[in-house]
Amino acid sequence: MAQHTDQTFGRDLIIDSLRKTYTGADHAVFSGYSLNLPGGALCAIVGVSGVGKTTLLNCVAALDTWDSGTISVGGEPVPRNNPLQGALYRRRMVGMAFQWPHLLPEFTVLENMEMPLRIDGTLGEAESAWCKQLLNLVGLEDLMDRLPSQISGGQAARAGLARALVRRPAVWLLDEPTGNLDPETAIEVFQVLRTLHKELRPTTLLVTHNPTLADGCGMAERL
Amino acid sequence: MKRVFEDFIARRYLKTRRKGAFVRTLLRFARWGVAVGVFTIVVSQAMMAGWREGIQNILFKATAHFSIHPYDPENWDAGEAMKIIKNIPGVRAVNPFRMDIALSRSARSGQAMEPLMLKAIEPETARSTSSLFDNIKPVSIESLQPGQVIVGQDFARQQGLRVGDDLQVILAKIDFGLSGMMPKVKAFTVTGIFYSRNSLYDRGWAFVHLDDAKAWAQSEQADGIEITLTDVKQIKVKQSEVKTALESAFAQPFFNMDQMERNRELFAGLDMLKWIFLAVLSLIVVINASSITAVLVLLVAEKRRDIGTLLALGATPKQIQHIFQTHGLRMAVIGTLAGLAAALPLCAVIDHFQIIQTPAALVDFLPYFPFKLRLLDVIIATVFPIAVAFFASRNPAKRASELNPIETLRAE
Repeated sequence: MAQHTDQTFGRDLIIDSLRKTYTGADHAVFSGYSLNLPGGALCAIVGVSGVGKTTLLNCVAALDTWDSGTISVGGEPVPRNNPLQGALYRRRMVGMAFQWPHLLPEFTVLENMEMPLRIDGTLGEAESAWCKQLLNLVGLEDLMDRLPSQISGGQAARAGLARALVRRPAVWLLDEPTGNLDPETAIEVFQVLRTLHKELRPTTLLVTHNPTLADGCGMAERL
Repeated sequence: MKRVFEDFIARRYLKTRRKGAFVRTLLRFARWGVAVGVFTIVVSQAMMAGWREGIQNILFKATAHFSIHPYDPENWDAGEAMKIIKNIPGVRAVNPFRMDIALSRSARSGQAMEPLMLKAIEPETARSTSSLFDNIKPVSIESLQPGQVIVGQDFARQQGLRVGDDLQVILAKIDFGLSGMMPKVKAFTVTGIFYSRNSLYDRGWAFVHLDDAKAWAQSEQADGIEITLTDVKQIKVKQSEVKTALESAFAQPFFNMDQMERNRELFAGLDMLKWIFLAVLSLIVVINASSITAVLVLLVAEKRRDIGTLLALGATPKQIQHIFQTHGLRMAVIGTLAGLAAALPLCAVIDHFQIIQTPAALVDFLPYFPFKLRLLDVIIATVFPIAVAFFASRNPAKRASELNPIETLRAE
């Protein structure tokens, strides 16, 4: 597997006594929540709707803020309430994939893959080759010149998973990446997810409602 | 600073046909609106500049580019001064002269007296500094003798003057005779009639021999020297050089007069008109460039999910702002280039082939409408819409950068 940058996959993720209350809400969505994930672990986050699974991922990604407690990745605290520092932190540490793949409709699959590197201003020939290698890994090498509207939902989900790994992130945050797919395709995408994790060993948090997928992860955490 | 990523996204957003029909229509309207505004500004400014230059050329062709005068005309030597001036690089021709104001009428027809600028010239050199002598009938300016006068066509018609008639002239000078103070009265024989296409000269000017003027002024000197340059744009520099040279040679102050100075009010009026045109037509650009705001507001609303995705992928709020700001600027640049592409060749062709003829009343004065493109006008027409677009796109771009990625990603 080609090495992309000096970033490395799989660093320790430590969440300590996290408390989060939504604006205007009476009760905390979670309070005193702690989690210690060793580098390279694959952990499923399960729980009923509204329990704060996605909110937890957003906090780890520095997209959302929290009341108290700390989150650190590889020993580095996650910035809170600072959009610029949050963006720079995401570039260095985070790869995110969502329930909807959120591929940019005006750009081809390959261009979508390269987008994080374009954002960083680090896209070169070697990096482009790395993106193609990732596409190859998720079985989309023949579709790289297609627009998102020209590929299936499962293919788009796979592209979304791969895009989140382009920067070799320390943590791979997956918010119900199969939630929008039929059961067969969901299994197929989960296999791809497992393959990517096995190959690259990013520290992975997977939010899912699917008990089969949660069982397939090495560990599961109930919120 | 190079913004490859922002430019990449903005360019694709501009090119794509995936936008909603309303955004596409507004985008087209904004782009073409800016183009029309730029086109109108360039054409109107070229027309005004051409008109100004046309008038300026006529004035500078009719008389020398400028004249220089001593404050004390009795304490200089015009011949010596001409030699000094001729040695200054860039001076093409010099001609000594005197100027007097007179009242005059035809001795034969007995018409009322009319004011006349009586210019006394050296016939051998006069033609080198003025085009007024190109159309004289039936003689040439070089044949002018003392006691003779050449009058303008309009004045001759007004007074019923014909070649060979006498012209009575009362000068604004006083004779101290035995019977007390009397105005100087002279009689000249009309030897020719000139036609310049400019009623200022054709009606109000007449030319006599310099020797006549010296005689009635009881002076051996001309009271000024007319100077024509090889390059009219050098007029201010050369005025200063000539003045300095003569002041050091004759140890007395000199002053300059030129057509721009004499027609200061006319040119100030033309300049003001040009700026008023620019201000009014700029409104077209302002209105159309402002529709860029509307396009961007709609586009930001349409691209909320993309913005959220890019933020989640690590784009900074500043980068998001630059994407939409770049998008707005690109729209303005495309419109501006389209406007320039239409206006610049059009002005050049209209001017080169003299396509727009002036009305009959003006045709002798300025036979066609000149269109002169000036670099400053083109720069203003180029920079202004882009500057307006910059400010028009600032606010929606800033709002795009402030979107909450969680909300935009959840909004699916």
